[in-house]
Amino acid sequence: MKNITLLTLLLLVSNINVYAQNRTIANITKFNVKNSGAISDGENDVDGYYFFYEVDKLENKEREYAIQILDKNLNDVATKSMISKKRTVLIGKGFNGDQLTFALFNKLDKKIEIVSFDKQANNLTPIQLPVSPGEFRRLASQSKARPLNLLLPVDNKGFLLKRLLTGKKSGYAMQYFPTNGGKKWEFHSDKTSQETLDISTIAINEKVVVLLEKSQRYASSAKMSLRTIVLEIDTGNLLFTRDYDELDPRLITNAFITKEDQIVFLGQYYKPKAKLAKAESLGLYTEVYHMDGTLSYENKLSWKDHISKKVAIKKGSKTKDYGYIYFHEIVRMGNDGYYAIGEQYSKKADAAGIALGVLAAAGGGATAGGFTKLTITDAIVFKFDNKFDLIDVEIFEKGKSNIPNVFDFGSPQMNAHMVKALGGFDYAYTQIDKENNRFYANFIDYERLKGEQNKLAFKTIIHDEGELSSDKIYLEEGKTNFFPLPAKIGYVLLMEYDKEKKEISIHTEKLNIE
Amino acid sequence: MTKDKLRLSPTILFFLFVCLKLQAQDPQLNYLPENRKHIENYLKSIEQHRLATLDGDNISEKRKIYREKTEKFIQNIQDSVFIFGASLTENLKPLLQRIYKGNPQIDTDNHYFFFHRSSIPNAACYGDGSFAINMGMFTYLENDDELAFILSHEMAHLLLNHVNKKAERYIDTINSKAIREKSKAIKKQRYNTIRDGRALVKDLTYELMSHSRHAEAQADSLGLILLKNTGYNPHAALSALTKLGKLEQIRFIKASKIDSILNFESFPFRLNWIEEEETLFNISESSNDYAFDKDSLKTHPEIPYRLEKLHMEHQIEESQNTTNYLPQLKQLAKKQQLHTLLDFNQLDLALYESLIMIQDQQEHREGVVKTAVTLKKMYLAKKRHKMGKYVPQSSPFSEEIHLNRIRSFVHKLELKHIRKIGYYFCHRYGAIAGDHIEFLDAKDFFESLNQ
Repeated sequence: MKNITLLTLLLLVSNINVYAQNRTIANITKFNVKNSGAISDGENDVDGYYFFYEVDKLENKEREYAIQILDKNLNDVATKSMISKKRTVLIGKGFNGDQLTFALFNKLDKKIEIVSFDKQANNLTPIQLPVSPGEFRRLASQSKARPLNLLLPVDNKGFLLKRLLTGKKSGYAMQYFPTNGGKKWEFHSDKTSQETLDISTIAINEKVVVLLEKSQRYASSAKMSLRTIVLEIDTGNLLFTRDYDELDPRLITNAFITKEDQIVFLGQYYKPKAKLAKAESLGLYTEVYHMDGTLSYENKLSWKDHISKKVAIKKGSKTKDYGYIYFHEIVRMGNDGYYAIGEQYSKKADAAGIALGVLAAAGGGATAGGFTKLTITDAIVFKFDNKFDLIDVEIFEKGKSNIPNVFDFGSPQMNAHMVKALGGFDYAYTQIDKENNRFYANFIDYERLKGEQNKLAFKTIIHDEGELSSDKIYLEEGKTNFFPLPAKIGYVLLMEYDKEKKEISIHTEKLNIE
Repeated sequence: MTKDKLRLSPTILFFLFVCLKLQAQDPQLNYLPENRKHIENYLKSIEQHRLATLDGDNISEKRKIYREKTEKFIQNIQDSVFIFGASLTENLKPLLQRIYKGNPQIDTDNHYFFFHRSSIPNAACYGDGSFAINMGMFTYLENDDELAFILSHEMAHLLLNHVNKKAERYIDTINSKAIREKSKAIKKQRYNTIRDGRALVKDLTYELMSHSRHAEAQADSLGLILLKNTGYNPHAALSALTKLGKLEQIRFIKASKIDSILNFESFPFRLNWIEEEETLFNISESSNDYAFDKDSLKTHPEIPYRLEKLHMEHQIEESQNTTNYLPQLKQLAKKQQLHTLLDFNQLDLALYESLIMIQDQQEHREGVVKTAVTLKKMYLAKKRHKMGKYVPQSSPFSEEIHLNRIRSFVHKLELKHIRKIGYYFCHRYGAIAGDHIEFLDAKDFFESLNQ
């Protein structure tokens, strides 16, 4: 167990706190944590944790910053000092087995600085990347809104850095920086595009990176198209693309690369010309591609004809017993088939929202949303065989969460996408343990308990040896609150706050399979 | 040996925060003293005495320190950090009497020796007549002469008033006009506040630690003089210090045969349970740009320096006039050790020690019983998601490689693994444990889990 007070407040004053009176001295050496979080890979496996501090104010608009690094077992392994201009923010971090790398955005010098440490924790020569005025604007506004992570490690090979570019509309670039002597490359969007283009990484290994390019007329447009791009890691060469087919629209939920070098896409499909942001899906699909882009296998599972055999369907994609289902992840468990992890939801009128709306209207005001709410209930797991045929559906009980809709208009699906974007679902993240053929799907649930006070609980659905089980950790215990954070696979980091002692400590706990 | 307080390692710190009301296993020993009120009154009276004699500057801050110290001590007693019993005091008393007899100048009126349950070899002088000696100290010392030196060393700290001087020097220093002004000036600075603040803290820390090291060597020297007056072998000062200097070479040096003791035909041991994990850096110690110089932070000077100083300052001759009380204290300490580790959920240490007992064939039955109890406690700690609170994770910087492996095992094990390991262990070793009540309880527990 680590006492976080030492980590955050007295990092540099480690050995004088013999008596309580050291406050007088300690006060002058306090400094701020600007960012902190887990250093994890694409599968949410945590390699360590970082704390980014602004330590000291220096002359010439400079600042002293420090990055403190804990390993995945919470051992304090390094604290590195660096000087940079003021208004520097951390926009990426990652460990690729060879190097630990951080991306810093310096607003004053208008540049991105890549800072890396080798396996001996030595500083490597930083890489300076100038930032155009357009990218500056986008980085400044996005980094202000939420913590960014634009850096992606490629195991034992290098790093990918996502750049936010501007042309006629917003675009992107993916820049590759090798760490093992390979070649640097860049792949960027069409600068003349009339569409707003964004990119996200959906699968990566040492050979290829699979990117999903989202194209929209405007950032808020319900109509969008998705293009899959597969690049070779060593060269940046385009291996193949899979363009969006308006007549057969598909929304990818997950992708992964198999040991046999095939790329598997999983997701939901829609009726021709559907607007993905608000349309109701027709069913689930899988498609498997060879590295040259040729289709190896494909299967579709419709709500109407296939899923309805196991789950009663009320109408369209709405099930009779479970309402609508929002799928967060679809994962493959070796030879044990596929699992789709989702939550049930339904759109309902919100009595409290309506009352407030009436009051607002009476006062001359108006609201765009709040008259309806999204009610999120149990977690649901669909199990498919290797051919993607539905075998079973398992429900994991959760409490009911009501999230007011931002907009009352639109389909339940559109509202669900918005709630998802705002982090309103109970689902937190999934970790895949390839070695043991397991997954851990995590939720934070507000449990309504009979005869005692309701409690928040961290709930995990675990797949192990073909069976699904669950584990639960209550996040309140007397005068102590717990905040769960990602940890190495199979564990959770609990940040424990003792309200009485006003102390924070952290420890990792194994998730239980009985 | 520290001169003022026990060095509070994270493990020991944990002792201070748990509140357990326990009954010691040995009927002669208790975790709560029968004369608790009397002891509390004693502690308050020595505090009052100290407060009454305070003079100079910063009186209110000094009062506060002494009050907090007493409160903390009383809380420690309530938290069962200490162990009490006639069998302990009766075996320590003859040594103390011999030291007092040989050194009549020592005012023994307020002396009180507490026995701390920690297995870490350490002793402490609290500054006003109260002392503590860790049960772990008895395990590492070899004879009464060495124990007499440790006691003399702690008494020397008291005679030289090291503890109170250190506390009061600290208060006076940080409240001194010079430091206040420096501190104020730094706070007013526009730039480099933290750098200059750190430099100030660093200087103060080094200065305080330098005093501590000096005090330690002084206590060795005076302790040896006191020891010489007792008839105990003065050479014991050298052997005791040498042992304490080699602790890392004495503690946890045996490799536990965990992979054979917990290997079962129906449930084979998996080597990945004790394998080291890949970590961010391949380094042997934390790479900290802000670290203070380690040597300057030590409260205790290096043992070779202390030994050399004793040799330089004293004629150290052999003497054979010893006593033989330590073996009884050792036995009591050994008996208590595992019980204490389990009480405070130090399950890594408990598992290590009990496995060593099994493989050494000494106290074989006790080792079997405590392993079963440890496995049950491991199961419950995991089930409640508390293991990370109780047991530190393995560290890439730890030199205790065998203990590191146990920590890895304790953390990596799944609940379903412990359930099986506990079951097969209890079946394999049932004949050795016989009808031991703790073992039968663990066996029933695992049998019901495996039904």
